[in-house]
Amino acid sequence: MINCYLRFTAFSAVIADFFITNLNVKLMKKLLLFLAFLVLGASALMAQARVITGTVTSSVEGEGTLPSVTVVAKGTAIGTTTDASGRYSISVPGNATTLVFSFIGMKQLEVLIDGRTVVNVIMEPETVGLDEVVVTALGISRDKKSLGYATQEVKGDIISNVKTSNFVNNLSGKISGVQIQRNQNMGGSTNVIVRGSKSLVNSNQVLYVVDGVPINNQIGKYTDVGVTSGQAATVAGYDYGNAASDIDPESIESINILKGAAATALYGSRASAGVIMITTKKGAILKEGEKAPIGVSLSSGFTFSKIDKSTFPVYQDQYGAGYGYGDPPDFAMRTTSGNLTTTDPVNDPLVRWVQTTEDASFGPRFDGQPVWGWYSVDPESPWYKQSKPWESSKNGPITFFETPYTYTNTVAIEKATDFSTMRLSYTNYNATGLQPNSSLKRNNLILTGTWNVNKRLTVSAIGNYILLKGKGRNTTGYNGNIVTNFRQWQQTNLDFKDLKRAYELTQRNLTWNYNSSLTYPIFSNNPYWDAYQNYETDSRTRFIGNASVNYKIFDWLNIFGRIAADTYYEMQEERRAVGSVSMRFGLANVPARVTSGYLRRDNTFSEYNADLMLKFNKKIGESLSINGILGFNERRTNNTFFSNATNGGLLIPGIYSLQNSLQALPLPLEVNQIVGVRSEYVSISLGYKDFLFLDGTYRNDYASTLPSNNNKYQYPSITGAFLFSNILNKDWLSLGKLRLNYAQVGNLAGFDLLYDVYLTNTPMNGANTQLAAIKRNPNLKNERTNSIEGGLEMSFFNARVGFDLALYQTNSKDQIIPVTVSQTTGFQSLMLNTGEIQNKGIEFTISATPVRTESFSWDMTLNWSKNKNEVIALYPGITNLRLNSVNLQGGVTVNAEVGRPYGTIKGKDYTYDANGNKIIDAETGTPVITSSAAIPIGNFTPDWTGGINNSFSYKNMALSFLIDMQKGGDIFSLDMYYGLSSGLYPETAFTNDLGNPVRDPIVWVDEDDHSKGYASTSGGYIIEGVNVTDGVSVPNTTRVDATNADGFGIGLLPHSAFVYDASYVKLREVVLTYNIPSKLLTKTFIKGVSVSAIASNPWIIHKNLPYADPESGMTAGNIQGYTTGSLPTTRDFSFNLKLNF
Amino acid sequence: MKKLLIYISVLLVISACSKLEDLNKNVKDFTTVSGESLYNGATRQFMIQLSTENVNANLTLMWMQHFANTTYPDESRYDMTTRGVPVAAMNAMYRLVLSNYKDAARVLQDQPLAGISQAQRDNQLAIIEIMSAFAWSYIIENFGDMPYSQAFNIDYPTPVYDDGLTVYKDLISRLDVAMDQLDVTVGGMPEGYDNICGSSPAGTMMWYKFANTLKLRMGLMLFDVDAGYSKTVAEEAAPNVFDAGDVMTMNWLAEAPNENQQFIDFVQSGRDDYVVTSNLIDAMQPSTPRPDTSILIVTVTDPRLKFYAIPVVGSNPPVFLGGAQGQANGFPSFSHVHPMHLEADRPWIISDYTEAEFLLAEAVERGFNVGGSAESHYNNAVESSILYWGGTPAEADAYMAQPSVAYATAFPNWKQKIGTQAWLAYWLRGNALWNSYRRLDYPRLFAPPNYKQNINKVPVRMFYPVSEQTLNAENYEAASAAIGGDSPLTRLFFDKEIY
Repeated sequence: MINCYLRFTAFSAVIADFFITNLNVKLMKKLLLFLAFLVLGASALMAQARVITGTVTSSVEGEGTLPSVTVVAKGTAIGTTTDASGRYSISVPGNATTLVFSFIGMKQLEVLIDGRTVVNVIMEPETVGLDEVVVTALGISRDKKSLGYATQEVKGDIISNVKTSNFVNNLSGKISGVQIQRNQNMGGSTNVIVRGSKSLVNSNQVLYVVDGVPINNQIGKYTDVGVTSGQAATVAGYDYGNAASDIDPESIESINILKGAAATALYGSRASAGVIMITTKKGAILKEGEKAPIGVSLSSGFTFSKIDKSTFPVYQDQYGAGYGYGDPPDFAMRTTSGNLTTTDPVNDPLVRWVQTTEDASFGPRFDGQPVWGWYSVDPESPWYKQSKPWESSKNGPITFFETPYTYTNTVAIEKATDFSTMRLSYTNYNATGLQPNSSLKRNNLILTGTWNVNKRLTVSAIGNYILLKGKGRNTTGYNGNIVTNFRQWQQTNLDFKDLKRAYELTQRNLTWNYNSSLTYPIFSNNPYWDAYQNYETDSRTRFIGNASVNYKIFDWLNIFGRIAADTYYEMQEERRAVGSVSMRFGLANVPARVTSGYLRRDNTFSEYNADLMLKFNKKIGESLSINGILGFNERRTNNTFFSNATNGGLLIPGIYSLQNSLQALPLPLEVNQIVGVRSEYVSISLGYKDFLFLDGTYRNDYASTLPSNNNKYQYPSITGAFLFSNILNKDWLSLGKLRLNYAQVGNLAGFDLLYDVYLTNTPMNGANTQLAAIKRNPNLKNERTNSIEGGLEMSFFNARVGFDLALYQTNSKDQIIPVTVSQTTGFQSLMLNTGEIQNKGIEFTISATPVRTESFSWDMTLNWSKNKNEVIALYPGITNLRLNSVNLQGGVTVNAEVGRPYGTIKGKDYTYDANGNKIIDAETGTPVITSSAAIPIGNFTPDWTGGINNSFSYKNMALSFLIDMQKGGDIFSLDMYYGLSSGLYPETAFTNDLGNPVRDPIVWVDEDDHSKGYASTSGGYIIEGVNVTDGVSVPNTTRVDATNADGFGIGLLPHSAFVYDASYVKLREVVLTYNIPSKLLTKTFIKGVSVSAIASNPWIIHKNLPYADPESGMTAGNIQGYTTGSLPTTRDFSFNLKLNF
Repeated sequence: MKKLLIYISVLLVISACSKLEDLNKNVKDFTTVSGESLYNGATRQFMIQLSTENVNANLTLMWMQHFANTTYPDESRYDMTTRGVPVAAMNAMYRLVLSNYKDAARVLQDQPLAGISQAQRDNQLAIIEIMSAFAWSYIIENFGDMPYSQAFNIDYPTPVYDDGLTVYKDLISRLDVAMDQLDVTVGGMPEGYDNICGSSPAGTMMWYKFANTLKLRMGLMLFDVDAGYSKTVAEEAAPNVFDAGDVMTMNWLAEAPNENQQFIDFVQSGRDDYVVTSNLIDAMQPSTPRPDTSILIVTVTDPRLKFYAIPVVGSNPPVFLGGAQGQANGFPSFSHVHPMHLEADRPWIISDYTEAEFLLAEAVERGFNVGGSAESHYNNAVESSILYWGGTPAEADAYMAQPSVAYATAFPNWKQKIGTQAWLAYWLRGNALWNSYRRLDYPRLFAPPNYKQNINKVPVRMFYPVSEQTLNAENYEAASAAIGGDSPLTRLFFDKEIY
């Protein structure tokens, strides 16, 4: 059998050959020419001048002439503005052909000079949204008004304004129906969910499409490599970000979000979670005879960040290290050398030592008296055998963080002729993170070109080369996470400047957390050791590109072919330096704790798409237009993954290589996955008299991952749009449109889910194998999503006010999921086609321009959306699906439960009496907790999300601010669950109702007769609730003993006490932009200068989660509503400069 | 145009080309493996579950009050749900152990003999069957009624729970069949695949003795519920149990990830999570004043003490001091486990002559005809234990001569005599301790004070796994009702006495 793949490759070679021979040579010559121009200076292009005059009037009755209209000779830097009576006079070079008139609120107007010396023009008001052209599926531009489904567009400058590592973050709050949840991890992944979660266990992330071609968005987290069960939390390790963040925001012309299945039917399965369509900057081919000089633009941005202290712990300042067990809680007694016994009590007495083993702050009260501790242990320590006063830390964990800086520089050159266009851009992004020794660098080089070979043939190509390098990314999850320590396991007496000095002086792991023999770390390293020695590095080299040919067979028929590739190689290296704390590290099948090690992952990904489309566009008679596409797509996705790690530790310190393994290397992890899909589709659009539009699509997919007797599946969509405003013809109604659509999307299975495999483990003398955890299924069929959507879009009074309303329902069925079953079956889960999730929602956008005058305008946009998600069915007999495959630290679970929204958080709860009062044990004063840990205690799905954007522009100045909000959704805080029990927070060191320190012991009036009550000196506190005896409730009066770690947090309260409402209101963004008036630049070769200052996340106006940002829970993925050890949120301040030449 | 047509035709050719499903082949993983390798993997997992004292997997050494926690006392206060210990135990035993044993047997039955005799193949299958019965007994003894007849069948995603006693009796008859199948003149698993008994005929003999010892124990377990049956089974097994000097161990390796579990949790982890309890240490050395709860009062120090534990670090003169059960204990203040038990390749005892002799002593006391006197079996057991752990014969004699140990005078109740000494002998064998404790009800162990939200008595079974409440709810409810409530204090069918 001939290998299909080979033929496929051969085809791409033919296309590539075509481009190299016909396109690139010419374009490269031109490129060199452009570069030469650049060096010589663009002003040399100016030739003999002539003067043109004229008057600008408004088409609106009564407005008359227009002052302050900008008039520019196209393709030059020469411009002027009209005077108070709307008159202008401009001196243009001899080769100028066109004048460009622009004015706020009016459509930009281009007028050919055509030899005239007087050019009078009439400008028309801009009717926003009416004639908008948007890019839809497969990269096809459509009149927005003809679409029968919801789309929403964002312009590129809005995305590139704030220099973040991930452009998607900048969409937050700007689009209805899209939930964007970012975390604070450097280069971290952003969770983007469109119209609710549709898949039970597979990815719910939006699909990213660049210029019509899908790109990979693999989320770089490895929950099953380097992590094992036991105490591991989900995503112990690093957040390597989501791959779509490789896109250079500076290259984005616009982003269009396709939300519903009807919009996405043509991308097939992968688009069922919505599509972010990205159109890159390309420049447009000029009209015949037109000429334009080279356009050069420079953009430079600088950002620095400051921690928002409301997202970091506040510590109690009265008690230091200890767990408070023992009576009274006390210091360890050692000699100044750290010995537990002394042979010479006079000269070498036992003195007070901080208990270095205790990673909590329930110890002795600060008294300012001398105490020995971790700093006294090591002979190289500056405080060897010395004491320090016992006091609250002056330099707490927050001092550990550094100020992150980001520099972004972009240079782009562009040239258009009347038969071609070409753009080359280079962006350098350089950032440092909150943690010491962390950085992220990205280089994007993009070349795009389009060439009309002749009147019928157009070829174009785009190539984007990306190089990403990360270093010292922060750890996430529970284990080995520095910030988990800051939030959960901390001594409030620790001085981080001392820790820093100790590390810097010795370059060794002088930890605050020595074991009891003061020889090695027991739970935690010195955090600076972690940052400077145990850092990771990673790199990704990526090429995204495509080449296409369009041939106009007839005026109404085009044939279009395209080859697209997205390929990358990435490598990740993780280190543990010799002398670190023992922790699980390495491959999952060697779940060993080690004190040093090295792990590397090599990941190669490629996706190739070949498309062939026949596009036709015909008018039948006066009133009927018909256009359509007949298309074929062939896709290959190939992922090779290799990982291995040292075994038992490193042989020689400082060398991070697999060869340096102390023991024989374990069996590596190898993955090689190929998925192929072949599709044929047809799309027909009918338009009747510009007010009635009907679209239909039909697609047939043939997938490699389904069983051979059942691997083809078809799905249709039909959409309609009715522009009733075009019939009503009312002055006040600028636009009125009703939309309706129905669509199905089919989805294939993942790689290799049909036939059982065995796992091989490190041999134990003989070979060691086992059955896989998931029982595969040879009878799988495709998944299916049905959706129905209706919408109403209206705008009034020249589009001064408008709204867009959408209602939808999607049902996703027959999901291919590993259904968790009782392991008495011998399997963890069975791969089945089962389950159904329903999403119903409403979303609207209201836009208004309350003020629009000559020099001032105020625009407002409000986005609001509510999605109601419900798990309709799982599998007969099974009503709950646990989503976290690895245990979450703390014992809560995240679930899909039938009858509830996706993302039910379950754990233990209080018990309640008939009146809903919490039941408290009369003897201990502690709540009576359910024995079951399967009680629903929250749900991470928000009730609604919204955003309000206001922008003001005054002459050349623009100011905008965005408020972003989420209502509802719950989050479990492991930080509070442990941190309260560890006595870190002020909530554990207050003055009780009797006026005594709560941590004082319980004191009775009469120790032998408790009925006489508590003494006035008693510590402890009373938990509100009732004592129930024989069904009778009386208010609880029993005090909880708060002298030790059992008094708060995990030791006392159920999981539900640590579930917080994740609602927030944030001032997301404030942008101030100033465009230097072009008349100031007329004498220079600079065409435009714009400067802007941006504050991103400057203010969390409201939140309920203490000491942390409710957005900053987990990395992207289906497990949300859980937070542990997240970095504090930063306020980012950016300054940008853009220059056009 | 001509060129273009070529391209189009190429694309069309692709669309019509070979079958995509061929791409779905997993070229990196195995679809078939040998039965021996499955046996090896499953046995390793079984031994991990049985020998670990990890707070996430097996708490019996804490429940039996040999180990006390240091900083985090939750598990020694009998909290088994926070860390999901029952789930971990069930999942390990069903999915990692028994399901793989079942598959190993299936594969071996069809696997070509490839040079070995049918008798050896039969031995291999019998060894798998013996280990399966052992593993099943662990499950039933932990939980009570559990899925058995419908387990490992994906036609039953929610298997019914079978009656514990019925299953237990079936396991004994399975052991009988397996023992009949063993041919002690030939070997068993190939070299390297049996890390317990090895591959020689002598190893097969060890399997035979182990099967009998296991059968004896299982027979004795049923005395309270079916004395006649118990007697028959025990008497059948008694002649062929372990002989003097026999110790059956899991032989861990020095290299990751196959080290001894205590090495992994005590040494490799770098953590200091356990100290030896005062309950154990106080019962092994004379001291004043005596805690009034002391399990055993000795005048001669137990010769095993210095091999079980080390004196408090830095104490001068060296003193053994145990930590308090159920309390947080400062690690430096108390005796630690002796480092010899923490070596990476330290073998771990599965069963031995000591256990066989304790069982025989018990059988005699129960009136079974197994030969010998209770006292002789008891003496053999205690002596072999002391000698195994490093004591000298003289030390053993001196220890056994003291009135509180000598069989005649030790305690008025034979159950207390045997139970107390078994409790001292089964060092690092949590489940053996727990079984002995539940059968003999001695030594009397009490829940620690200051517990919160946890159970107030020593657990006599494990909660059913929480996962069963959601994944197999109906059958879970029925089973809970059948055993008398899903509580760690519900006494299982073999466990009648209450104190």
